[in-house]
Amino acid sequence: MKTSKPNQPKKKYQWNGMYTLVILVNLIYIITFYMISNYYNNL
Amino acid sequence: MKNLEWIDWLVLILTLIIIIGYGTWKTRSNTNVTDYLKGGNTTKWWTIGLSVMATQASAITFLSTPGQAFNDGMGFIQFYFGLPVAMIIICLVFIPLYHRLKVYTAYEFLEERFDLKTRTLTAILFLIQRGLSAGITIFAPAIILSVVLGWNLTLLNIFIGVMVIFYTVSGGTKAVNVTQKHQMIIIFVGLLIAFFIIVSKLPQDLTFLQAIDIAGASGKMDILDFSFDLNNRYTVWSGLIGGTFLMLSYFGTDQSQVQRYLSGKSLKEMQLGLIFNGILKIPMQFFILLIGVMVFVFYQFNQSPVNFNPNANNLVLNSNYAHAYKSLQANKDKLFIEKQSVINLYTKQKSLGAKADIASLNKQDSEIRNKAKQLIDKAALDYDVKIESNDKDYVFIHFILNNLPRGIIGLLLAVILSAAMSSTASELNALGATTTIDLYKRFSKNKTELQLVKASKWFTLSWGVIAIAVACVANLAENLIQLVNIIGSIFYGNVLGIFLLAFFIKSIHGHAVFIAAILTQIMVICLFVLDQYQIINLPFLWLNFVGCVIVIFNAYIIQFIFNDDKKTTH
Repeated sequence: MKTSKPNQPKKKYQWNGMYTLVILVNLIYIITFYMISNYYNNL
Repeated sequence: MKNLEWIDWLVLILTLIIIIGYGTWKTRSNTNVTDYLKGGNTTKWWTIGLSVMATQASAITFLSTPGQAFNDGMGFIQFYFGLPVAMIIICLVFIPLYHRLKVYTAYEFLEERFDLKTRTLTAILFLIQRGLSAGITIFAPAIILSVVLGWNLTLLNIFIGVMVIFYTVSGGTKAVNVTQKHQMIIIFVGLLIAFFIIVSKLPQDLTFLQAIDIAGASGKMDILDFSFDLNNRYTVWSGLIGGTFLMLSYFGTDQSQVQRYLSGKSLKEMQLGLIFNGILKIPMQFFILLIGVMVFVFYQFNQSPVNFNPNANNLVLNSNYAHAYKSLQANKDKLFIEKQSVINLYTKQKSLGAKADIASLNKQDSEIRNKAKQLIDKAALDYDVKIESNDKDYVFIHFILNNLPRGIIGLLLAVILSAAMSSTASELNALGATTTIDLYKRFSKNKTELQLVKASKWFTLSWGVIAIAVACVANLAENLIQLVNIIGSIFYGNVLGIFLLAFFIKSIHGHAVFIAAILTQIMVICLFVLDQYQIINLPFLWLNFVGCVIVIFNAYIIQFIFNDDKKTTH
C-alpha cells in the first residue's frame, strides 16, 4: 500500500510528461529536417 | 488586375458573415469584467490552442511565407525552433503564477512583484508597440489585395477594421476565441485545398517526390543552416536562441497572447492549449512553406512574370526602362524553355550534371529577377513613387488568382481576410483590456463591473479606430512580415527582461528595474538605428536577446550603485 508524505514540500516548478512529449516531438521534426537537408545536399 | 466572379464573392462574403455572425450571436451577453475580458474562464484547451495559433498567424503569414519559400527555400522554418522551448517555460513558470494571482493582464503581476510605476511603464510599452502592430496587421493584407484586385486600399483597411471592431467590442474575449476557432478551421481547409490543387496542376507524369527533387536541386530544401554568420538571418542558432527569447516574450508577456490562455477553464487547460501550439506550430509553418516550394515547382513548368507585383510591372513598363525590362522578360522566357529539357533529364536520370544545370539555370533566373527589381527601383526613383520591388508577398496571391478554380479563389481570399481579422481581434481585445485594467481601473477608484465593461468596450473601439488610422498612413516596407517582427524585437527584449527579473531574481527591486527599463529602451533603439546606418552589424532578431540581457545587467548595476535594498513591493 502506498504511503502519503503530507509534509513533503511542493515542488516550485511541476514538470509534466507533456513537456517531455513536446521536446521529443520537436526533436523528431529537427532530425527529419536535418535528414532532408542532408539528402538533397548529397543527391 | 483580376476581377472576381459572383461565385467567389458569394463564398467570400458567406464565409465571413457566417463566422463573424455566429461568433457575435453566441457571445452577445457580457455583464461583468471576467466574462468580457477573460471569456468567463470557460475556454477549453483546444480552443485556446487554436486561438493562440490564429493570433500569431496573421494574413502576412499566409501571403508572405509561401513567397519566402519560393525565393529562399524552407530555411525560414528555423525561426520557429525556439517556440516549443518557450511554450514549456511559460507552462512551467508564467502560467502557474498568473493563474494563482488571478490577473487579467500580464502587467498586473508586475505591480505585485515590483511596483506601480514598473507595471504602468510595461503596460505603456505594450500599448505603443501593439497599437502600431495592429495597424500593420490590417494594412499588410489590404495593400496586397488592393494591388492585385484593384480594390480601394483605404476602404479595405476600413472594412477589415470595422468588421473586427464589430465582434470584438460586442463579445470581448469570448467572441475573439469563438471566431478564431472557426477562422482557423477555414484557414486549414483552404490551405489543404490549395496544396492539393497545386500538386494536381503539376505535369501528369511527375510524382510528388520528383517535384520535391526539383526543388531540392534548386536549393529550396536546404532547411537547416548551422553557420554562426550573423548576416544569415535564419540559422538554427538564431532560431533556437533569438527565437526562444522572441517567443518567450511574445507568448509570455504580450497581452494579445496572454489573454488567450488566461481565458482557460483551469490551469491544466491553459497549459494544454500552449502544449498544443508547441507541437503543431512547426508542422503548420512547414506546410505553409511547402506550399511555397510547390508553387516554385509549378513555375518550373509554367511561365511566370519577371516580377509578381502588378503595380511594379505597370510602372516600369511605362518608364524609360520599359525596353530593358521587356528584354529581361524575354531572357527569362528563353531560360524557361532551356529549363524544361534539363528538368526532364533530371527527373529521369537524377544525374549530377543535370542537377548542377538546374541550379545554374535557377541562379540565372534569380539574377534576371534581381535586375528587374533594380529597374523597378530606378523607375520608382524617377517618378518619385514608393513601390515594392521585392515581390515575395505577391507570389502566392498571383498564383491563387491565376491558377485556382473559381469559388476556391473566394475561399482563399476568405482565408486571408480571416487571418487578418483573427490577429487584429486579439490585438484590439488585449489593447482594450490593458487600457482598462492597467490604466483606467488602476487610476480611478470605485468603478462598478458594468462601468468597467462599458469602458473596455470604448477602449477597444478607440484602439480599433487608431489601428485603422495607422493602417491608412502606413508606408511600404521591404517585407511586411519583417516590419511586424522588427517592431516586436525593439520592445520585446526589454519587456521580457523585466519579467525574467520578476520571476527569477528576487534580490532586484522595483526602483532599479524601472530606471533600467527606460535606459534599456533608449539603448535598444540606438542599437537598431546604428544597425540601420550600417555602423554596427546586429540583425533585428538579436535585439530581443540583447534587450533582455541589457535590462537585467542595468538593473543589477543600478541596484548596486544606489544600494536600493529597501523593498518596493507593496
